[in-house]
Amino acid sequence: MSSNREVEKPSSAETATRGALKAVDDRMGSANFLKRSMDKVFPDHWSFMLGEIALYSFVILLLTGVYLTLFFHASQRPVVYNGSYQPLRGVSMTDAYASTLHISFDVRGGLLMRQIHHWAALIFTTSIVVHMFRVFFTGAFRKPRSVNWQIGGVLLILAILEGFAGYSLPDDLLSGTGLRIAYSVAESIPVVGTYVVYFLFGGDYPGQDIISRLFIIHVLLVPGILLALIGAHMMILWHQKHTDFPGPGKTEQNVIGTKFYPTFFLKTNGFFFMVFGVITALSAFATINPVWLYGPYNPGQVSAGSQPDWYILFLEGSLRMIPNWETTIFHHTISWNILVPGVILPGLMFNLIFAYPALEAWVTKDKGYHNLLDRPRDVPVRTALGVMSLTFYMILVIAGANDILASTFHWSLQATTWVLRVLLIALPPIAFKLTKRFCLGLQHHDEALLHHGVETGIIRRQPDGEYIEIEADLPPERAEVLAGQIGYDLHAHGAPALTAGPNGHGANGSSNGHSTAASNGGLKKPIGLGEATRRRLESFWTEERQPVPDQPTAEAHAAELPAVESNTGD
Amino acid sequence: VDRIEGMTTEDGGDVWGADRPKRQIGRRNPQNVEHGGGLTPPDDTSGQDVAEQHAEDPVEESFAEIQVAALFGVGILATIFFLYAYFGISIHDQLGQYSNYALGGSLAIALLAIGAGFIVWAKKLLPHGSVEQDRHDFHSLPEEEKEAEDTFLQGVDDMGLGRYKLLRRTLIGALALFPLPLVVMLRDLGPLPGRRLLGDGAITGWKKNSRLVDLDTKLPVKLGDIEIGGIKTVMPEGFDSAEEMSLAPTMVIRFGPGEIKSAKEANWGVNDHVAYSKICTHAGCPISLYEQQTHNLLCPCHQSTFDMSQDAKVIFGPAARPLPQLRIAADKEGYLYAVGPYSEPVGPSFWERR
Repeated sequence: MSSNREVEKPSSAETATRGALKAVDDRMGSANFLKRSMDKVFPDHWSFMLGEIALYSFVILLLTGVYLTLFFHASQRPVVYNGSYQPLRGVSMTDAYASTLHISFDVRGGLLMRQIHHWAALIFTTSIVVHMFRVFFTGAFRKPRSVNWQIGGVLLILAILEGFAGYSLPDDLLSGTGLRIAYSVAESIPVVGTYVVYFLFGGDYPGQDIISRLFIIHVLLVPGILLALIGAHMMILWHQKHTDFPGPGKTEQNVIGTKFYPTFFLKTNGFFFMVFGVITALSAFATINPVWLYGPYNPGQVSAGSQPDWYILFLEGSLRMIPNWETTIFHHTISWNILVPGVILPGLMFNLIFAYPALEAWVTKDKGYHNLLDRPRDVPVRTALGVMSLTFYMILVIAGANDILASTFHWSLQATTWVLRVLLIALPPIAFKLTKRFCLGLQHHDEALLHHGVETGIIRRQPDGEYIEIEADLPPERAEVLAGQIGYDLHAHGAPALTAGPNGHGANGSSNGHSTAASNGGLKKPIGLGEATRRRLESFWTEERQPVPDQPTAEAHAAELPAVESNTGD
Repeated sequence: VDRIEGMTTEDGGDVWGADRPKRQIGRRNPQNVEHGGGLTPPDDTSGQDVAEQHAEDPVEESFAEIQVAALFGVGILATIFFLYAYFGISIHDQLGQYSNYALGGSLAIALLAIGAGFIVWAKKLLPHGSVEQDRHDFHSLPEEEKEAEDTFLQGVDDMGLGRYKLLRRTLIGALALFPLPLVVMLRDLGPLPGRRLLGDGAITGWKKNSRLVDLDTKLPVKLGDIEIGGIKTVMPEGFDSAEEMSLAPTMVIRFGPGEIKSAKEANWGVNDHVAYSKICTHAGCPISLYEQQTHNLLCPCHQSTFDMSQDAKVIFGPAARPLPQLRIAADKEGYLYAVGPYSEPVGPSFWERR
């Protein structure tokens, strides 16, 4: 092939392409960057596509959103509807709601665009959350990627705000109820709350201004920040290179995968179209947010079973679960029953997200760079913390639909609420404990595989009459991968001289048990309360990881398996 | 510079933090591929990409091309159908359902086919195999770091931020103050909540002698319009502004004789008719679910429940305060009117509320 090319004159297309690239390079000096970018290697794993889904749904949101702005009137001016949706003809409503009906029923493809926009928003927020869980459970947020994790947290907050602002715009009965609650949440903020809402809404709820203000927030302010931060997120990712799971040949200093151009480029293009296609198919056949059924907003009305979009549901749930706390001190009222679930709780949750990388690094004293990912089982406390938070969050989400639950299953609403309140407090610690056990169990399993190999099902009778089962070695590649994976060990961090770093214990996991002694040695020097707390947390982080005890049969088959002989007898 | 060569089998060193364990990682066995991508055994490589394999069988290759082309062809056809549907199918049939199915369906097919085309193209016609690349040690060399720090600190020194104390203090003052206009200018976004803070019930729209009119029909409500156990949402006569709409909604409940347990509640009503604010004291939703037997009123938003026969006492849920009662009376013809505005703020609590 190449020899042919040398003889032939270059095709005109080739000449033109070279000319164009050269012209750009002459002006931008871009060739070096282009070459490096095209050669960029991306590792392959299905879970790395979650972030791509988020990115592509954002692109779809921009495309459909621009279209919708061409038809939407962000105005609370009262009008009488006269469009082609019969049931609402002659009804007085705001221009915002009327133009939404117009888009839905009188603009060809308008309903499709609205539904794509709404479905894409749901998938945007969902994929961000799932992507964050992937990043959390695999430890991808660790240094050097902690900043990108925090940017991701801001993106999540903005996505939620953007979604809320967006579905408030049509000014239907459901969205109006959501806005009314948002007004009350902001109003509950001590000292400034009343002023904040009066300025935001231009007076008492609903005022005349909120739709047009939300509109500019929704189409300019938040998307602008989102766009900038997504750009930063991607550039940092590009610069730092993607993390990867441990595997053969993979080290902290390399990336193994597909080059960006052309393979990854084609695949990811294809993936964009697939995401767009799936969202479009949903929008064609699954109705979302049928505002025409809710009717125009009327402050005197509300419908039972009004649930917000899923990403607001945890706030709705917390508002439903909170006991009726309110205190009055010095002639001032603090409405804990709305301040806690609406302001304090989400504030805590997001600040925990931001602080987590630093907290974990502080506890484990792990300041190293990490490009290889953890398997969740190998860091039991982190995984358990994640599942615990997820449990708490999920119960809040479920609690946001407690009325639906009660009416669907014919339960008492009060009993449902009380059960959920109890579960909200009781389940997360149980989830923590179970997850940690589960992780340690899986670790044991891995170590047992390395120690004892795989059960073959072959029973042999020994000369002395004893029956044993023959255990086969793991295939060496598998054993090496596994050893590499569980070799990631945080125990040794407890040593006071941290320069030593963790001593990877390879196949036998016997390093535990020394760390406690080592940190006790460090106690000779007086330590502050902070450091004492840290050490306590660290020993909690590393405790309980036990070497696999030798089984009775170990001696019997040790002779057959000298390569994986265990030295954990201590 | 990126390194593209055969894979190493050993962790190279301490660049990524000395506290990382040294790691022995095996080569991937082709039979034991876990992640997609099919890493080729490193033994086959020397220098260049790990593998450069196009579909070797020309028959397979041209079949793959036909597959991709067919997918792109479906994309073309579906897009053409979309255009036909846009112009050919009326949006007014079945509330635009057909139009939505046709437009959305064809667009989805076009997008999915194009997407699948790209992916089949990449999977079947492009070289397989993985490439290894070095990760850059993207913190700078220690001497570069020091140079940058020195340059920065030299600049601080040149500017004299340490020496010129007066300059520094006025600078901080000026920079701290200049955003103030930007904040102050937000003042005119809305009125001050003065009357609301004072608990002036009149801002709800209810005044002395306001007649109670039905929210929907806008007709005045009189004794006998509501059956025993019934409930009606009313507004002050002549309401119009949206603000009034949000604070004024009030419900009139008619009890059976002797069902009202609170003397104050009965006194503030007339002939077993009592009026309460409809705005929940928790988050401000209009409350709407009334249970006749128990006299319980349930907020559909967060399930605060009020016992309407006992001064709207909270009996369940997150609301902390009872619903405010509107004192009503009936005129000679039996029309209900407010004796005065609400005597306390309606709706959720706020900082200034006592």
